[in-house]
Amino acid sequence: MLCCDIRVTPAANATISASFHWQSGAMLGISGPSGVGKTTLLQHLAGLARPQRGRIRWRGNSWFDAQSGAWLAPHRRPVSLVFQDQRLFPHLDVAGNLRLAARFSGRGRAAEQDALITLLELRHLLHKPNGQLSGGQRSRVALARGLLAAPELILLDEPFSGLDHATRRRVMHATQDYLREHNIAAVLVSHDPDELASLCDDILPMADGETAPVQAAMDWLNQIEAPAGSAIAAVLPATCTHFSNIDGLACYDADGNEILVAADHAPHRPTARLSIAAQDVSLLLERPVATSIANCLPVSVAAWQPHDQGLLLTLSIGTLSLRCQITQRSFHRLNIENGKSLYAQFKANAVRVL
Amino acid sequence: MLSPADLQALWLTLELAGLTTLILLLGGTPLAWWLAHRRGRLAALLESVLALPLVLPPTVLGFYLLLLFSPRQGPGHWWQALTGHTLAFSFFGILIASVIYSLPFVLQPLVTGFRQQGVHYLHAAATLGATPWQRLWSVALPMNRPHFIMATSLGFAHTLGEFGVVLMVGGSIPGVTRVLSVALFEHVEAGEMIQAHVLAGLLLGGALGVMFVVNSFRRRGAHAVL
Amino acid sequence: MARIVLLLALGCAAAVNAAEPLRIAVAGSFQPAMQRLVPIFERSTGTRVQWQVGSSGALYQHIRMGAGFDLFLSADRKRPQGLEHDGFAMPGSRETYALGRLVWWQPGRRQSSAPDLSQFTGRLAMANPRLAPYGAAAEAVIAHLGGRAALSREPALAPNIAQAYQFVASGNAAAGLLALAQLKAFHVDDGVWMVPVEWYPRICQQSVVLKSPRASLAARFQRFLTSAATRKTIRDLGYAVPGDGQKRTADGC
Repeated sequence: MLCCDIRVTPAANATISASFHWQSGAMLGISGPSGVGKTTLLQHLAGLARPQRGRIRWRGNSWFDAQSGAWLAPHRRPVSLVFQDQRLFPHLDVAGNLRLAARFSGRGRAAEQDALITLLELRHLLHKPNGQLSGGQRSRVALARGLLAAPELILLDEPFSGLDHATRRRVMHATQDYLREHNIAAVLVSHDPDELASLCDDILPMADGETAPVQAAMDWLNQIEAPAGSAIAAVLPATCTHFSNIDGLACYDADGNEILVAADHAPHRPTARLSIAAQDVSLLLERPVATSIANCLPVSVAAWQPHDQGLLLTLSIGTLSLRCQITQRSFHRLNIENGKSLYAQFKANAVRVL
Repeated sequence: MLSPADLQALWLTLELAGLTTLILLLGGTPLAWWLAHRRGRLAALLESVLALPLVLPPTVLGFYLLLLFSPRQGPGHWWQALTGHTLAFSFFGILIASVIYSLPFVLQPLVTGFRQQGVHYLHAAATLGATPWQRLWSVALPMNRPHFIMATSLGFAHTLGEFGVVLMVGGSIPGVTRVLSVALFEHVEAGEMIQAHVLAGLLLGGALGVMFVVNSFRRRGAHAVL
Repeated sequence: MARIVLLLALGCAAAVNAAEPLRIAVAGSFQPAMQRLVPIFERSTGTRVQWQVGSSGALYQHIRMGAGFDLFLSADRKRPQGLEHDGFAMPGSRETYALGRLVWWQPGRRQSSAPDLSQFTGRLAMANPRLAPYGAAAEAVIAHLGGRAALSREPALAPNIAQAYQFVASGNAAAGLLALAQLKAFHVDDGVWMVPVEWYPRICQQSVVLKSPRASLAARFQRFLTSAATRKTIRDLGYAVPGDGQKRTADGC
């Protein structure tokens, strides 16, 4: 539905070439190192700048076409943009910003404004002038404003910055729910792999001023090359079957496999993506009798490759995969070979819920 | 305290200052907007030309206006053909002179204000669906309020005290072009010191009042626009 | 011994004073005349003259504040009177050096007799009667011609006669009551009508010697101004001179 093939030469910066086709999905994440041009790309999609060459089409409508001269002004495109620097109107308080967004977009009646205020925990900030808001509060207001105004698509440029960990999780999931409820597609720019991992269905990788083809998020997350700054991990889509605070564990089902997760890691949501770092997985030849380690799953060896001083194994459990990092010594001691059945162990605590 | 003639001069001056400021605000706002967002030689040149009255001696301006107003050629001729009156010695003539002379005092704060804002907030408004008119009316103008106050006050105060230009093209006609500053001048020249003190005091008080307003908004404005 | 010292001191003082130029404050309207007359005076007496023009009002104020002038040539008589009365001038040193002549100038119209105000539809320019003697004179002339009511428009008042001239010369005023000396200086003779002197109070331009060490030199310049040759020059420049067929008034005008 989003078809983009443009070439941008920002003043005094390197050329950015973005060529991708996003077929369908709720959220597209753009990943890449800082300075690669993610924000620039968003601004061009929003219509705040005009590319030198190319085309942009959304659901069949042409927003920009260099050849035919087509150009849809930013206020006419059914898209809103949440800026990295928030850009809250300084002459209005929080409530005023939301009202203005409603008036500009022609959307967001009082009821919806109210819902967003509750969702993003802005009730106590409504009459505060901008100067008195913290960074995290400003981010939430900017997000509320953008969500209110978004008709079909919303572009999010690092929208969760400044939020502490717990708040960030709540806000991220609240946003996701709102988008789903109102059928608004989203493009998320983030340098934080966990944000991308948690929310996005598809990923558009960007490097050296160029975009690579769009990938399904699960594929991207499970690739051999880990995103910069994070350990290699396997990401498994799972649904929550049981949440219990008594023994401190939550129970998830990943393609028929039961995975126990520390309760304080688990948000109260029906579905989640579980991330298990390769270094947290250990292997056994036989099922252990008594162990403090909560998770022990039957797996079979699918592939392996050298990694660091040791080896990185890819283990399949049903249709999903786990990663495991072991030393050469262990590799030989366990007589690893293709298709061998083993048990993979990892603590409940080691599982991160994205 | 004020003679009928001086009272007439006072009302005339307030009328002149009020009209001049109004014209400059209405015409100056779009001009300031254009200048603030334009780059290039033409805009820079225009900005310099429009700032000239700041440094031009009033007598020079008055001299050129007298030539411009002359019914022998140009605008003065068209005006006479149209209305049967000359531009000089008329209220409209000193209104034109005031508008030219006070132009930079209104324009510059507005340009500065718009320029300081930049396009950031306007872009934000555009992505929220605001049309260009809505961006101007609901974002750019309200954000620029402190500068509008300053422009209004400076333009008004400056016109209140305008002397040299009006003297040269006005002809001191009571109720038409004899403004307060000219009346003051005449009292001084004629040695009528008491009346001179009264009028000077009025002008001083007016100017002080206006500057007080300007400064109080300037102080507030520093907090308002983050 | 003391007497020798005193004589030397006086002699030095005299020598010093003789070396200092004569400083004259001149009303701006008389500038063209001064330009012609000063070199003649300097040549014939061997003294240097330093003269400065300004509005009579401004010069009057400066003299009161202590500007070191020796002689004041005003465009009126009121200010020399004031200086004499308040002790800034040598008593009895007031003299009329020229009398202003008023003319009606309406460019582009030949004038052989008095203008008919009821036929005049344009704007009349004149000096402000409250501020300049030419203005008061002009007001009297208007009264003669039928009064302010006869004028279809309010006259344009200029702060001084030079500005009034500008109003007419630029074309903004259709006619003006101006000084003959101005029109002569600008070589204008078309559309000029000389107003009869009986119609207006005399425009008396008086000089006064100020209290200064060079008072005697200043008096010499005054006498120069009233010499026959100088009077002829002043007349040529568009003024009348005292004694020209008019009886002197009580205060020597």
